[in-house]
Amino acid sequence: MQARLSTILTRLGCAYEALHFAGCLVSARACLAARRFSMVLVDVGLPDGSGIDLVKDCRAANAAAPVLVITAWRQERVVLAALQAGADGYLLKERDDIEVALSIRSCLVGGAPIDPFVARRILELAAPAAASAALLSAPHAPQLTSRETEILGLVAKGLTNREIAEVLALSKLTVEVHVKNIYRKLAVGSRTEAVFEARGHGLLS
Amino acid sequence: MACCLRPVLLVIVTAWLMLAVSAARSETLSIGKGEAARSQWTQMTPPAEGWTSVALPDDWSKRWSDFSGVVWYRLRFSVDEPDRPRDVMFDYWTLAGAVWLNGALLHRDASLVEPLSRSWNVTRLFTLSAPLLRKGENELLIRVSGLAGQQPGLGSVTLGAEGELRAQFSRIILLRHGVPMFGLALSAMLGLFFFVVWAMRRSETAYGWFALFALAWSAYLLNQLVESPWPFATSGQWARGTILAFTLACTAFFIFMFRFAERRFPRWEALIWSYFLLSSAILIFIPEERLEAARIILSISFVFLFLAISALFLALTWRSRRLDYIGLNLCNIVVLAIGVHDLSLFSGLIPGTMYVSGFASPLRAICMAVVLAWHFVGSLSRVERFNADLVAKVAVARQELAQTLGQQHELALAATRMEERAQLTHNLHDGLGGALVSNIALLEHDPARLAPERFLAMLKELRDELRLVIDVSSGESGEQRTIVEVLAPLRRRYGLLFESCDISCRWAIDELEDRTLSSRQSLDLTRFVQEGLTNVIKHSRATIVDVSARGEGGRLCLTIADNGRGFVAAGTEMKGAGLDSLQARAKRLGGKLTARSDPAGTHLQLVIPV
Repeated sequence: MQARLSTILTRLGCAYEALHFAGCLVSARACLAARRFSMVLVDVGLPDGSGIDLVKDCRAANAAAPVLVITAWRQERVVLAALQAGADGYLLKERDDIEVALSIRSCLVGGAPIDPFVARRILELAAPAAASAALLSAPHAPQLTSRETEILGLVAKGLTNREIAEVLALSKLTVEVHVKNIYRKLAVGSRTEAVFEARGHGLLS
Repeated sequence: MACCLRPVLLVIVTAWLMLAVSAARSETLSIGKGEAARSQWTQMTPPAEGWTSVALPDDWSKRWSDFSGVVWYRLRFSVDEPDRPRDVMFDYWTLAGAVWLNGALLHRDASLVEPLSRSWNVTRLFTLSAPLLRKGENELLIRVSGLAGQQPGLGSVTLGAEGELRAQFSRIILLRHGVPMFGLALSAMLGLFFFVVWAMRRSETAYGWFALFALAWSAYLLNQLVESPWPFATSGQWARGTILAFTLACTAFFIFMFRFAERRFPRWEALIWSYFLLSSAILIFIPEERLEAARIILSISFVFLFLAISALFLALTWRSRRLDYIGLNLCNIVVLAIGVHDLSLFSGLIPGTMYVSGFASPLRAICMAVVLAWHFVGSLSRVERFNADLVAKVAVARQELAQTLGQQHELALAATRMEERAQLTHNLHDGLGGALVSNIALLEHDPARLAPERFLAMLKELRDELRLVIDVSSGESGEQRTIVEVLAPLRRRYGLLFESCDISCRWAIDELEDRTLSSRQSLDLTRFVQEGLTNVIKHSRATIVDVSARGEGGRLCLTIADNGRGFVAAGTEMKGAGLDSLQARAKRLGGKLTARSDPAGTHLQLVIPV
């Protein structure tokens, strides 16, 4: 995975020397403490803990740098926990290199990669009546604007940001800002709720 | 009802008196003779003429038949020492009366005209003293208002020294008032109690009939106790009401006996009721002068009915060992024996003076209470035993059920496990196994032709198959998914890819919101679209791709069309293996693939049932 990512990243134009890899939570935290990164890629399943904690650390250390979760976990609870911890995107390892590369590039230029199944989960979360009780209770639900809900609905149907921009007569940039706002709202919800963090640990331990 | 028990009561009281007489020495003296004269209802002074000599106790209807009105009795006795007070005791007068001593009023009943006061069963004791009591001859004057049909007259009158008659008087009061009162109270109480029991439990009809019997019997006993004419307007109505209560009690007792024996004799019962209704009608409508005869006949017939049902019950339950039946039979026999004994005594068949029928009513009530209580408790015990049995049986049944359920559950679990294992094996064999076998075959037969991309594609396919097996086995995405859900990630991903390749991609997804696919179908459909679109990106050099998915009846129609250069120009490899793979997936989906390709573009259409 490390080799795969380094290939993808160097192909995207990153200098190999600028890349730092950490195999566990402890060394990753040491890395984070040592220098500032312009982007962080995190796996959820780490040998000594949950990558979601690392996402929080990254957010705390450098709010500007995008944090992308790239993992084999597909459970919706994990996806939501990661996004609520402040991740800017959620990628699956099983995707082709080109898809991973596209998402990372989008993230680097300030975009917000979003997968239709992630959008669907957020929509369910935002409409508490439809949300599964096991996921989250109503107080954690983000308060989305109608525009954001609309965009999420289109994402869930599989439209790309460009297509969404065309459909809604917005600029692609605006759509991406909306998506980022959605992520931020999720993260805000989690930061104010310590309870949720505990739950996140619990289900990942 | 002065009639029915009058002779019996009379004799009882006489017996007591005689006992008392034998016990006391001295001055006790029964006034056996006097004079009587008739007068009008309203006359308040004794007549001057018409006096005739009578013996006490006197029933004037034997002398002056059909005379209803006032009869004056004049009794004379002499006193030596007027300073010593004397007691005088009047056994009864029928129905109402007043007493004077030497012209001075001693007592007067409340009502001396109709409706008359009812003193027929009331014994009175007066203390006579100077100056009313005179030396020499004294005169007691008794004015009695009576009716022809109701044994009018004056009972025995006894004189004694002061205090001498007290004990005797108390005993008579007890007998005439206390014992019937006791019987009435018991009877009414039992009647009310069993009435309530029956009201709450209508199926216990025996209790209902007993309640009716006991209440009717209480009404009958009132006759011996009530002195005021209320609630009836005439003494005749009182007599009718009393005998009606008696017949009702007998009838109810009759039915009660049947019910208590848990038997029904509809014809007999109908007959009894008919007789009761007939006698009631007679009692209500018969003229006053015939009342006496009717009362006697009806009383005797119902007494026989009473005896008959007692005997019948004995016959019905002769063989039963049930204690409540035995108790009721004993009770009946005792009452019967009392009746026979007293009748024998009365008619002189056996010697003696100890009459006991006054005690029959309370005795019967007590016996019945015991028997019915026994019966009641027996029912309760049966219910309790039944409950205990039931609880035990329920416990056993529950245990068995739990066991069975447990076994069933285990069987179901085992079956589920077997099924899951079979499913897993099946999935592995069909999916991963099939892919492995075909790919191995491909590699074995023509390893040289295999480009690295094909090899990679094979491995990815194997990975997908494995992912599917894992997903299905772990239940992760085993549930049905809608076609829109299946296609959305593809659309997004390929949308991004086409954007990066500057290919315009147009999607049209219609009427598919409620169509669902299984995991296997989802995977095959996903792969079909993936392969179709990958071909477009890698080989076609197209600038526009149209993807459409439409629901048409029970089918899904998926079309991928591009404006690229077609299979032929793209080379044989794509045409061969790529199309084969698409065909294979179409077949697995149970659908049909139509592929058309020319230099102006390629058109793939997949129609599958959903």
